[in-house]
Amino acid sequence: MSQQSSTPPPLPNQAQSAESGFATLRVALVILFLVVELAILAYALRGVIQKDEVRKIPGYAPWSEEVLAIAEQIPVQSGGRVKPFSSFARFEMLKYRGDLKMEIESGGKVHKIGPTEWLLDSLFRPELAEKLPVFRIDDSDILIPFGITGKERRTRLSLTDFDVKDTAGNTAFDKLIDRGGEILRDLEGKAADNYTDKDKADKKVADFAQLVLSYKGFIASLDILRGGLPEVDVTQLAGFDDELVQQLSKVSEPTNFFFWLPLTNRLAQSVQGLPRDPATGQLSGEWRKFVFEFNRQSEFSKYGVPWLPPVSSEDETWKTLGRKLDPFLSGTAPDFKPILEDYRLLEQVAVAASDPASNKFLEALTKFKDSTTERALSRGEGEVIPGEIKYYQRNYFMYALVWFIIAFLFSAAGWAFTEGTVAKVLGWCVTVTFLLGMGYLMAGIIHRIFLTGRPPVSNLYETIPFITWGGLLLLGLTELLTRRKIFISLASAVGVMGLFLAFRYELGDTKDNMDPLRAVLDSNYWLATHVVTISIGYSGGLIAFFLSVIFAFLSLSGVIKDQKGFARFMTRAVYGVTCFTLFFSLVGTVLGGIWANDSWGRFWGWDPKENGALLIVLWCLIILHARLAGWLRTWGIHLLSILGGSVVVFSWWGVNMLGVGLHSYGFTEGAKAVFYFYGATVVAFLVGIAAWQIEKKSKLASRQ
Amino acid sequence: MSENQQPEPASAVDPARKDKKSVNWGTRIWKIISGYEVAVVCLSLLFVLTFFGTIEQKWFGLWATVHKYFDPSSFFVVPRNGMEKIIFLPLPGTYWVIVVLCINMFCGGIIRMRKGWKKAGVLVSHFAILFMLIAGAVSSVYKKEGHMLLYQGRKSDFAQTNFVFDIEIFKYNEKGEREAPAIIDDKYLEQLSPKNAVTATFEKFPFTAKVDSYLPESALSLAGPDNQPKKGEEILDGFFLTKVKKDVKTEEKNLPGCYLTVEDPDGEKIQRLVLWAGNPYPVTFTYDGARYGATITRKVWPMPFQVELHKTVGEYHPGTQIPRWFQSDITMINDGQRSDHEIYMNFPARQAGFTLYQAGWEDGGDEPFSVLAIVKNPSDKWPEWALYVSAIALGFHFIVMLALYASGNSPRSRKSAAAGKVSNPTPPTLEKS
Repeated sequence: MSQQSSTPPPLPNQAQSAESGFATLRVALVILFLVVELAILAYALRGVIQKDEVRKIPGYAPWSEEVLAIAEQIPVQSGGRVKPFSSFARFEMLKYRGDLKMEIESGGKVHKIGPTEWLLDSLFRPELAEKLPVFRIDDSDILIPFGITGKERRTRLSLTDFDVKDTAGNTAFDKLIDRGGEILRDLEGKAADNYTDKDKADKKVADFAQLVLSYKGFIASLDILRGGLPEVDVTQLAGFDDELVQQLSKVSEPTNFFFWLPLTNRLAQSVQGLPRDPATGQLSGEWRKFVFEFNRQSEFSKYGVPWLPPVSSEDETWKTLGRKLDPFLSGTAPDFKPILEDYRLLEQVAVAASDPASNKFLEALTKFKDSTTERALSRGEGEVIPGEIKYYQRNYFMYALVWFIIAFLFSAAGWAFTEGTVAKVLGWCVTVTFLLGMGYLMAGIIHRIFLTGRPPVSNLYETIPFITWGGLLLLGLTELLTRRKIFISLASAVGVMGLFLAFRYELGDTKDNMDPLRAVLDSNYWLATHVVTISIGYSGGLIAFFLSVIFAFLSLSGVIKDQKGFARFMTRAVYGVTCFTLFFSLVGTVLGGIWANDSWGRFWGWDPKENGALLIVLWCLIILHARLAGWLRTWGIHLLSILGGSVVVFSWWGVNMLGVGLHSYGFTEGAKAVFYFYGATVVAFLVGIAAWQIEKKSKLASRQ
Repeated sequence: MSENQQPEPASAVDPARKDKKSVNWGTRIWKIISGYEVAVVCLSLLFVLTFFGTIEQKWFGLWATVHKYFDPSSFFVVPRNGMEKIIFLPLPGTYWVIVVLCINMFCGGIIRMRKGWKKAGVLVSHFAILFMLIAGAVSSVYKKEGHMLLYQGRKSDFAQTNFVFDIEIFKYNEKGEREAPAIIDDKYLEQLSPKNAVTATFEKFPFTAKVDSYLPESALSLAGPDNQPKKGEEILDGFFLTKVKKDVKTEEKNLPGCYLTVEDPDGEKIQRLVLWAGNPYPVTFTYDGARYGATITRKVWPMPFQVELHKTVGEYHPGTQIPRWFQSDITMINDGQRSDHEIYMNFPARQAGFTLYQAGWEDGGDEPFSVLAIVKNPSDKWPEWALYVSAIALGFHFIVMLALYASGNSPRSRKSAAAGKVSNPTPPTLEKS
């Protein structure tokens, strides 16, 4: 009897039943895994798409377009460079609010306020600025001990929200600032590494208190210009300094700080002799109020915007008004004349701001802008201001994001039409919109190169658009070679993800990403070679990851008709991209070692960032050699490629969270997104395992 | 041949399996040590070790972790997560895994590898990477580094090592200047524990010096009513040495200390001193009417040339504490030959096998100074050369692969393949027949 007789072929309805069972299982698993992935995504994005409160502020009037156009051009020095007022406002607003816009309702209208408007309000309309929801807080529970209750957990508060008083009459503001001070004193001398959980929670309170206090100072920074000193009877100084009394008697506006300025030192000496309360030792009556207000205004004027260029050509540091007055008030630089012009110009702006819609305000602001711009240019500073304003106005990356979303939608529609005119038209639409997105992305990167005078990647923020661009270029070229549609669809999706990440990172980081570099990084040669090369390596690793994820999901779903051909095609693609990743990661890593040898005297120091780059190289080598050893085939390569995505993300972001090493300039806190990515990777890995096992069982069933 | 019928890929290992039984032991061992399997195991171990050696730095700092994972003296390591062990099974030390990988690469990736123009790129890149790893080994054995503190307008002909200490004993001349010291070398100090001692004799001095109670990590305390020794430490001149916890994150904070007894040749105690590396001044004693000094200090590394610092300058970005640049203008004087150099970040000066880097500067105050890091590394430039070679070789290889892939995957090739025509003679494929 032949062996065939002992293993009879299954009846047709049995085979169909097995296939049908697998199909059901496939659909169930795809839905399950997609739900889990979407849940991770939704959890990662919680709060990001939260609808923000529209704050009602009666009497709020928006700034005119003319005022905004002038204001944004005012040069400001911050972070070591001279930049436009609008850029300074952008990152200050991010620091406080974590967002670039807020909505204010007034007179039945909703006004959208951007960074420049917000900063103008903060400087020139402090009574309105106090009501703006400026402070972002992610856990409002920490404010309950200070009497601020009934707020949503994640919310935004204004200074007036801290006006609530307890039964003893203490405001939440006072209690918060006092507590912040206490915490900082308690933590003084304690290394952050040794913080307990309570210390960490306390530190958050202290940091928030500092933020609130600094904004309080910020909006009061120009009080010194507004003539708010209490009136005093200067004749009481007679007998201490008669000449001073004579001079003060001629003053027409004794409430104006400016008129007291030239007499400050003599005034301080004379005030010492005034009668005092015997019990407290303090000055009494109007003079007490005067001295308090004089000190308050001069102290708060040190906050605010560093927009006054130095007088001396040797000095490089621009200052706030108070910092500029400081040497004069302290008596170390008795000549007030060099800063007289700045004081006068700013005073005109501050006074005219009482009617912000008036021509007087616009003229005063224009005059101040022209004066500081002229001086900046004469010092060889601020040449990039017009270009930088255009860069942010053109919003390249936002447009690129929009085009990539459209391209992805077209490509998604194209999956339903594989042949015919509609498929061709959709194909062209995908190509055109994708190229438009790439165009905007490249234009943004190139514009930044011209503005900063540096290669495209010089900080963590810039890695995101550049790595996205590298990945898209790789996918675009692969699409050109293979014309399989899948790559351009993936490219559109990667473009959306990359640029969305760039926006989120900028919002979370809150630091100006065009600021100059520290000495060790300031090498265009090494930035252009090592950093660019290693970033392209990251692009490759992530593209291989995404290709394998797509392969896993499509294989599990069973929608591919020619699964064997598709597997071969995708595996080759991943293999090719892994080779690409290896090449750039290896060259980039070694270039980094050579740079380190020139900077620190050692080629390799096992620093976390160096190790991260090495891990990518090793991962690629493991895949390539295990394949040659016959240990990896189709699924082995894809599963390792999926895990490889985590290796790249660990190298790119994860090592920065360790808080050690010489690459401390790259550290970032709160990069929780990394852990969500790891979670998503694990799910994708499980998808691969499931698809692989079902494929095996399916093959076995069909053979039987 | 269609895509579906392509031959098995570069399965160079597999033919050997067919006649496993017939080959001798030597051949089998050769095949193992030169095989892909050993490469994969080594690469995987390196991956795991590098990963744990990275995250462990969070708790134990760079220096301690590097020493634990990557030092040649580490044959086995047990990864930890904070104070917890992650894996109870010890992993081999990284250095030795790299040694095995090098052997495997040499045997398999150079000797055994198929030779041909298609594999030329991989062959050359293997050679270059091997050369790079050898550069690392040479560096780990022969590299020497230290720091030179240079005040503006002055010269120096020595550096000090970063972590190695020895004891210097010297005589003061009549002018109160130090004469050339006698050294109790670090190799003797390293062998000491708090309970044993070493006695040194000197050709140039008539006395001997006994070192005891040596503590590699110590602090010098001033004895007082509220601060008395808790473990019976000896008080000398009001001071006593205490053992402190090793700072694993910042190795340079670990300062050794010891007690030193000066004895005459008959063994009679002349004076007992306490030495501590954090003390900037030597401890002095008198013997036979002459004044001597003793200090425990970072090991001096004499340079074969003099370095003169003319100017040290630097700048911060305005309004910040972020350094923009800093520079030292120096002259190196070697056998009367003078050469001028400007050293700044990313631009070291190289001379006579030594490389001088700008490590720090202070241009304010009465005496501006620079701190120069000095490194002598015979394999200084080897990785750079290896990079150029491997980049060209790998680039060549992958371009060839890409060309082959592209020729087999163009729409035209796919149509040909679908029609059963031969399109791609030897494309890489991953399916086993």
